[in-house]
Amino acid sequence: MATKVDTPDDWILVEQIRAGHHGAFRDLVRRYERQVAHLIYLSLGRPEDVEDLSQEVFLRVYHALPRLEPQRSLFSWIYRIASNVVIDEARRRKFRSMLSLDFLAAETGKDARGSTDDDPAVRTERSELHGTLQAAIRRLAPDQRVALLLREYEDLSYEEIAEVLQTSVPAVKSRLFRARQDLRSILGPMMESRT
Amino acid sequence: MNHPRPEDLSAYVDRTLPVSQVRSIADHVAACGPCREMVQGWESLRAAIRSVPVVEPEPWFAERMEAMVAGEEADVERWAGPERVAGRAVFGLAVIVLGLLLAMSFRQEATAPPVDRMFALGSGDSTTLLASSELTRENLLQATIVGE
Repeated sequence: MATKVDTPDDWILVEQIRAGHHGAFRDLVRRYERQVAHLIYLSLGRPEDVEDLSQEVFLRVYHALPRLEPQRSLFSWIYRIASNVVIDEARRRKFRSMLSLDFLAAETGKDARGSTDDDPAVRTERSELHGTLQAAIRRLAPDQRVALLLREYEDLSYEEIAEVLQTSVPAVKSRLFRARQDLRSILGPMMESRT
Repeated sequence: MNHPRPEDLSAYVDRTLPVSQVRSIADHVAACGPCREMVQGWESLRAAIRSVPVVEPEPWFAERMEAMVAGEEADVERWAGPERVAGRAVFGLAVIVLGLLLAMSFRQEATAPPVDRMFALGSGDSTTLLASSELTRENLLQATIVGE
Protein backbone atom coordinates (compact mmCIF):
# COMPACT_ATOMS: atom_id res chain seq x y z
CA MET A 1 0.00 0.00 0.00
CA ALA A 2 1.48 3.34 -1.00
CA THR A 3 1.01 5.97 1.66
CA LYS A 4 0.97 9.73 1.68
CA VAL A 5 4.31 9.73 3.43
CA ASP A 6 6.11 7.82 0.70
CA THR A 7 7.81 10.10 -1.75
CA PRO A 8 7.82 9.13 -5.42
CA ASP A 9 11.53 8.46 -5.49
CA ASP A 10 11.62 6.17 -2.45
CA TRP A 11 11.73 3.19 -4.75
CA ILE A 12 14.40 4.77 -6.95
CA LEU A 13 16.52 5.00 -3.80
CA VAL A 14 15.75 1.39 -2.96
CA GLU A 15 16.83 0.24 -6.41
CA GLN A 16 20.02 2.29 -6.19
CA ILE A 17 20.85 0.83 -2.79
CA ARG A 18 20.22 -2.66 -4.09
CA ALA A 19 22.63 -1.85 -6.93
CA GLY A 20 25.31 -1.02 -4.35
CA HIS A 21 25.16 2.80 -4.22
CA HIS A 22 25.95 3.69 -0.64
CA GLY A 23 25.15 7.35 -1.26
CA ALA A 24 21.54 6.35 -1.91
CA PHE A 25 21.47 4.67 1.50
CA ARG A 26 22.75 7.89 3.06
CA ASP A 27 19.87 9.76 1.36
CA LEU A 28 17.35 7.23 2.63
CA VAL A 29 18.70 7.59 6.18
CA ARG A 30 18.48 11.38 5.90
CA ARG A 31 14.91 11.10 4.74
CA TYR A 32 13.72 9.03 7.70
CA GLU A 33 16.24 9.59 10.51
CA ARG A 34 14.10 12.25 12.17
CA GLN A 35 10.99 10.10 12.42
CA VAL A 36 13.00 7.16 13.69
CA ALA A 37 14.74 9.34 16.29
CA HIS A 38 11.38 10.72 17.44
CA LEU A 39 9.91 7.30 17.89
CA ILE A 40 12.91 6.02 19.83
CA TYR A 41 13.18 9.04 22.06
CA LEU A 42 9.49 9.32 22.84
CA SER A 43 9.16 5.61 23.43
CA LEU A 44 12.22 5.08 25.58
CA GLY A 45 12.82 8.56 26.90
CA ARG A 46 16.59 8.67 26.97
CA PRO A 47 18.39 10.89 24.46
CA GLU A 48 21.45 8.65 24.74
CA ASP A 49 19.43 5.73 23.31
CA VAL A 50 18.60 7.55 20.12
CA GLU A 51 21.86 7.16 18.26
CA ASP A 52 22.54 3.52 19.10
CA LEU A 53 19.02 2.36 18.38
CA SER A 54 18.71 4.50 15.23
CA GLN A 55 21.87 2.81 14.05
CA GLU A 56 20.37 -0.60 14.78
CA VAL A 57 17.18 0.33 12.92
CA PHE A 58 18.97 1.50 9.79
CA LEU A 59 21.36 -1.45 9.76
CA ARG A 60 18.34 -3.76 9.90
CA VAL A 61 16.76 -1.73 7.10
CA TYR A 62 19.89 -2.04 4.99
CA HIS A 63 20.21 -5.79 5.47
CA ALA A 64 16.49 -6.44 4.92
CA LEU A 65 16.18 -4.16 1.90
CA PRO A 66 16.83 -6.91 -0.67
CA ARG A 67 13.76 -8.74 0.68
CA LEU A 68 11.42 -5.73 0.65
CA GLU A 69 8.40 -6.42 -1.54
CA PRO A 70 7.77 -3.76 -4.21
CA GLN A 71 4.15 -3.12 -3.24
CA ARG A 72 4.98 -2.18 0.33
CA SER A 73 5.25 1.35 1.62
CA LEU A 74 8.88 2.08 2.43
CA PHE A 75 7.98 4.48 5.20
CA SER A 76 5.62 2.01 6.89
CA TRP A 77 8.20 -0.71 6.53
CA ILE A 78 10.98 1.39 8.11
CA TYR A 79 8.63 2.45 10.85
CA ARG A 80 7.71 -1.14 11.47
CA ILE A 81 11.36 -2.07 11.89
CA ALA A 82 11.85 0.90 14.21
CA SER A 83 8.77 -0.07 16.22
CA ASN A 84 10.07 -3.61 16.61
CA VAL A 85 13.44 -2.33 17.80
CA VAL A 86 11.76 -0.03 20.30
CA ILE A 87 9.33 -2.68 21.55
CA ASP A 88 12.14 -5.25 21.88
CA GLU A 89 14.27 -2.75 23.77
CA ALA A 90 11.41 -1.78 26.07
CA ARG A 91 10.70 -5.43 26.82
CA ARG A 92 14.34 -6.17 27.28
CA ARG A 93 14.62 -3.60 29.99
CA LYS A 94 11.30 -4.59 31.46
CA PHE A 95 10.57 -0.95 31.15
CA ARG A 96 7.12 -1.05 32.54
CA SER A 97 8.16 -2.60 35.79
CA MET A 98 11.06 -0.19 36.10
CA LEU A 99 8.79 2.80 35.80
CA SER A 100 7.52 3.58 39.23
CA LEU A 101 5.86 6.71 40.46
CA ASP A 102 9.25 7.77 41.81
CA PHE A 103 10.65 7.57 38.33
CA LEU A 104 7.73 9.61 37.06
CA ALA A 105 8.52 12.25 39.62
CA ALA A 106 12.20 12.13 38.83
CA GLU A 107 11.42 12.70 35.17
CA THR A 108 9.50 15.83 35.94
CA GLY A 109 11.41 18.84 34.80
CA LYS A 110 13.65 17.00 32.36
CA ASP A 111 13.51 18.32 28.85
CA ALA A 112 15.74 17.07 26.06
CA ARG A 113 16.05 20.35 24.24
CA GLY A 114 14.94 22.86 26.80
CA SER A 115 12.46 25.57 26.08
CA THR A 116 12.82 28.81 24.23
CA ASP A 117 10.63 30.67 26.70
CA ASP A 118 12.48 33.34 28.59
CA ASP A 119 10.09 33.38 31.51
CA PRO A 120 11.53 30.90 34.01
CA ALA A 121 8.09 30.15 35.50
CA VAL A 122 6.60 29.33 32.10
CA ARG A 123 9.68 27.33 31.20
CA THR A 124 9.52 25.34 34.39
CA GLU A 125 5.81 24.63 34.04
CA ARG A 126 6.16 23.50 30.43
CA SER A 127 9.18 21.43 31.27
CA GLU A 128 7.27 19.71 34.06
CA LEU A 129 4.37 18.97 31.77
CA HIS A 130 6.65 17.53 29.10
CA GLY A 131 8.59 15.40 31.54
CA THR A 132 5.46 14.01 33.12
CA LEU A 133 3.84 13.36 29.75
CA GLN A 134 6.88 11.55 28.41
CA ALA A 135 7.07 9.38 31.49
CA ALA A 136 3.36 8.65 31.22
CA ILE A 137 3.68 7.73 27.53
CA ARG A 138 6.42 5.29 28.43
CA ARG A 139 4.13 3.59 30.92
CA LEU A 140 1.76 2.59 28.13
CA ALA A 141 1.91 -0.89 26.65
CA PRO A 142 4.43 -0.84 23.76
CA ASP A 143 1.83 -1.44 21.02
CA GLN A 144 -0.42 1.31 22.37
CA ARG A 145 2.51 3.66 22.72
CA VAL A 146 3.68 3.19 19.14
CA ALA A 147 0.14 3.56 17.77
CA LEU A 148 -0.33 6.80 19.69
CA LEU A 149 2.99 8.26 18.58
CA LEU A 150 2.34 7.35 14.97
CA ARG A 151 -1.00 9.10 15.18
CA GLU A 152 -0.02 12.16 17.18
CA TYR A 153 3.46 12.85 15.85
CA GLU A 154 3.44 11.44 12.37
CA ASP A 155 -0.24 12.05 11.63
CA LEU A 156 -0.58 8.63 10.04
CA SER A 157 -4.03 7.40 9.09
CA TYR A 158 -5.49 4.35 10.84
CA GLU A 159 -4.78 2.28 7.72
CA GLU A 160 -1.13 3.33 7.76
CA ILE A 161 -0.78 2.59 11.45
CA ALA A 162 -2.38 -0.80 10.85
CA GLU A 163 0.20 -1.50 8.16
CA VAL A 164 3.10 -0.46 10.36
CA LEU A 165 1.88 -2.55 13.28
CA GLN A 166 0.71 -5.40 11.05
CA THR A 167 -2.75 -5.35 12.51
CA SER A 168 -6.32 -4.39 11.58
CA VAL A 169 -7.90 -0.94 11.52
CA PRO A 170 -10.36 -1.85 14.33
CA ALA A 171 -7.40 -2.99 16.42
CA VAL A 172 -5.72 0.37 15.80
CA LYS A 173 -8.88 2.21 16.86
CA SER A 174 -9.02 0.15 20.00
CA ARG A 175 -5.34 0.69 20.83
CA LEU A 176 -5.63 4.44 20.37
CA PHE A 177 -8.70 4.60 22.55
CA ARG A 178 -7.04 2.52 25.29
CA ALA A 179 -3.82 4.55 25.04
CA ARG A 180 -5.73 7.79 25.53
CA GLN A 181 -7.76 6.42 28.39
CA ASP A 182 -4.67 5.03 30.11
CA LEU A 183 -2.81 8.30 29.67
CA ARG A 184 -5.69 10.24 31.12
CA SER A 185 -5.87 7.97 34.11
CA ILE A 186 -2.10 8.19 34.64
CA LEU A 187 -2.03 11.94 34.28
CA GLY A 188 -5.42 12.49 35.88
CA PRO A 189 -5.53 15.70 37.85
CA MET A 190 -2.79 17.40 35.87
CA MET A 191 -4.75 17.16 32.63
CA GLU A 192 -8.02 18.10 34.26
CA SER A 193 -6.50 21.30 35.62
CA ARG A 194 -5.49 22.19 32.08
CA THR A 195 -8.82 21.59 30.41
CA MET B 1 -29.27 8.34 25.86
CA ASN B 2 -27.25 5.99 23.66
CA HIS B 3 -23.60 6.93 23.87
CA PRO B 4 -21.31 6.32 20.89
CA ARG B 5 -18.74 3.57 21.26
CA PRO B 6 -15.58 4.95 22.96
CA GLU B 7 -13.46 3.88 19.95
CA ASP B 8 -15.67 6.01 17.73
CA LEU B 9 -15.32 8.97 20.06
CA SER B 10 -11.55 8.53 19.88
CA ALA B 11 -11.77 8.36 16.07
CA TYR B 12 -13.93 11.49 16.18
CA VAL B 13 -11.06 13.29 17.93
CA ASP B 14 -8.77 11.97 15.20
CA ARG B 15 -11.18 13.20 12.52
CA THR B 16 -11.10 9.84 10.80
CA LEU B 17 -14.81 9.07 10.84
CA PRO B 18 -17.05 9.20 7.76
CA VAL B 19 -18.93 12.49 7.41
CA SER B 20 -22.31 10.90 8.24
CA GLN B 21 -20.99 9.53 11.52
CA VAL B 22 -19.20 12.78 12.38
CA ARG B 23 -22.49 14.67 12.30
CA SER B 24 -24.32 12.29 14.64
CA ILE B 25 -21.40 12.13 17.10
CA ALA B 26 -20.98 15.91 17.05
CA ASP B 27 -24.67 16.29 17.90
CA HIS B 28 -24.33 13.77 20.71
CA VAL B 29 -21.18 15.38 22.14
CA ALA B 30 -22.88 18.78 22.16
CA ALA B 31 -25.74 17.36 24.21
CA CYS B 32 -23.91 14.87 26.47
CA GLY B 33 -21.74 16.21 29.30
CA PRO B 34 -19.67 13.05 30.01
CA CYS B 35 -18.90 12.45 26.31
CA ARG B 36 -18.02 16.12 25.84
CA GLU B 37 -15.69 15.94 28.81
CA MET B 38 -14.04 12.84 27.38
CA VAL B 39 -13.54 14.44 23.96
CA GLN B 40 -12.21 17.66 25.47
CA GLY B 41 -9.85 15.68 27.68
CA TRP B 42 -8.44 13.80 24.69
CA GLU B 43 -8.07 16.98 22.66
CA SER B 44 -6.22 18.58 25.53
CA LEU B 45 -4.03 15.51 25.79
CA ARG B 46 -3.30 15.66 22.07
CA ALA B 47 -2.24 19.30 22.28
CA ALA B 48 0.02 18.47 25.22
CA ILE B 49 1.59 15.46 23.47
CA ARG B 50 2.27 17.45 20.34
CA SER B 51 4.03 20.13 22.34
CA VAL B 52 6.60 17.68 23.75
CA PRO B 53 9.98 18.45 22.23
CA VAL B 54 11.91 15.63 20.65
CA VAL B 55 15.58 15.05 20.10
CA GLU B 56 17.09 15.77 16.74
CA PRO B 57 19.19 13.12 15.02
CA GLU B 58 22.91 13.46 15.56
CA PRO B 59 24.61 15.59 12.90
CA TRP B 60 26.33 13.46 10.24
CA PHE B 61 24.37 10.40 11.35
CA ALA B 62 23.45 9.60 7.73
CA GLU B 63 27.08 9.93 6.65
CA ARG B 64 28.20 7.63 9.45
CA MET B 65 25.60 5.05 8.44
CA GLU B 66 26.83 5.27 4.85
CA ALA B 67 30.42 4.73 5.97
CA MET B 68 29.30 1.84 8.17
CA VAL B 69 27.58 -0.11 5.41
CA ALA B 70 30.39 0.69 2.98
CA GLY B 71 32.88 -0.64 5.55
CA GLU B 72 30.81 -3.77 6.13
CA GLU B 73 30.70 -4.51 2.43
CA ALA B 74 34.40 -3.84 2.00
CA ASP B 75 35.04 -6.39 4.76
CA VAL B 76 32.77 -8.90 3.07
CA GLU B 77 34.46 -8.33 -0.28
CA ARG B 78 37.90 -8.58 1.25
CA TRP B 79 37.03 -11.93 2.76
CA ALA B 80 35.27 -13.20 -0.33
CA GLY B 81 37.72 -11.97 -2.98
CA PRO B 82 41.09 -13.22 -4.27
CA GLU B 83 42.76 -11.99 -1.12
CA ARG B 84 40.70 -14.44 0.85
CA VAL B 85 41.90 -17.33 -1.33
CA ALA B 86 45.50 -16.18 -0.94
CA GLY B 87 45.00 -15.69 2.77
CA ARG B 88 43.55 -19.14 3.14
CA ALA B 89 46.43 -20.66 1.15
CA VAL B 90 49.02 -18.94 3.33
CA PHE B 91 47.19 -20.00 6.46
CA GLY B 92 46.90 -23.58 5.22
CA LEU B 93 50.56 -23.70 4.32
CA ALA B 94 51.51 -22.31 7.71
CA VAL B 95 49.44 -25.00 9.42
CA ILE B 96 51.06 -27.74 7.34
CA VAL B 97 54.58 -26.45 8.03
CA LEU B 98 53.83 -26.15 11.72
CA GLY B 99 52.41 -29.67 11.74
CA LEU B 100 55.49 -31.06 10.00
CA LEU B 101 57.80 -29.29 12.41
CA LEU B 102 55.87 -30.64 15.37
CA ALA B 103 55.89 -34.16 13.93
CA MET B 104 59.64 -33.98 13.34
CA SER B 105 60.30 -32.75 16.84
CA PHE B 106 58.22 -35.57 18.34
CA ARG B 107 60.03 -38.08 16.20
CA GLN B 108 63.40 -36.73 17.27
CA GLU B 109 62.35 -36.88 20.89
CA ALA B 110 61.28 -40.49 20.51
CA THR B 111 64.55 -41.62 18.88
CA ALA B 112 67.07 -39.37 20.60
CA PRO B 113 69.22 -40.86 23.36
CA PRO B 114 69.02 -39.46 26.86
CA VAL B 115 71.05 -36.37 27.46
CA ASP B 116 73.65 -38.15 29.55
CA ARG B 117 74.09 -40.73 26.77
CA MET B 118 74.47 -37.95 24.29
CA PHE B 119 77.28 -36.50 26.37
CA ALA B 120 78.92 -39.85 26.56
CA LEU B 121 78.52 -40.45 22.86
CA GLY B 122 79.88 -37.03 22.24
CA SER B 123 83.18 -38.11 23.77
CA GLY B 124 83.73 -40.58 20.95
CA ASP B 125 83.82 -43.48 23.35
CA SER B 126 80.73 -45.54 22.77
CA THR B 127 81.41 -47.79 25.74
CA THR B 128 81.36 -44.98 28.24
CA LEU B 129 77.79 -44.63 29.23
CA LEU B 130 76.55 -43.05 32.32
CA ALA B 131 74.57 -45.30 34.56
CA SER B 132 72.04 -42.70 35.48
CA SER B 133 69.57 -41.30 33.02
CA GLU B 134 69.10 -38.22 35.16
CA LEU B 135 70.89 -35.08 34.29
CA THR B 136 72.47 -34.15 37.57
CA ARG B 137 75.29 -31.82 38.36
CA GLU B 138 77.54 -34.85 39.04
CA ASN B 139 76.90 -36.85 35.89
CA LEU B 140 77.01 -33.67 33.82
CA LEU B 141 80.43 -32.98 35.23
CA GLN B 142 81.44 -36.57 34.69
CA ALA B 143 80.19 -36.48 31.13
CA THR B 144 82.17 -33.34 30.52
CA ILE B 145 85.32 -34.98 31.91
CA VAL B 146 84.78 -38.12 29.86
CA GLY B 147 84.25 -35.98 26.84
CA GLU B 148 87.59 -34.33 27.35
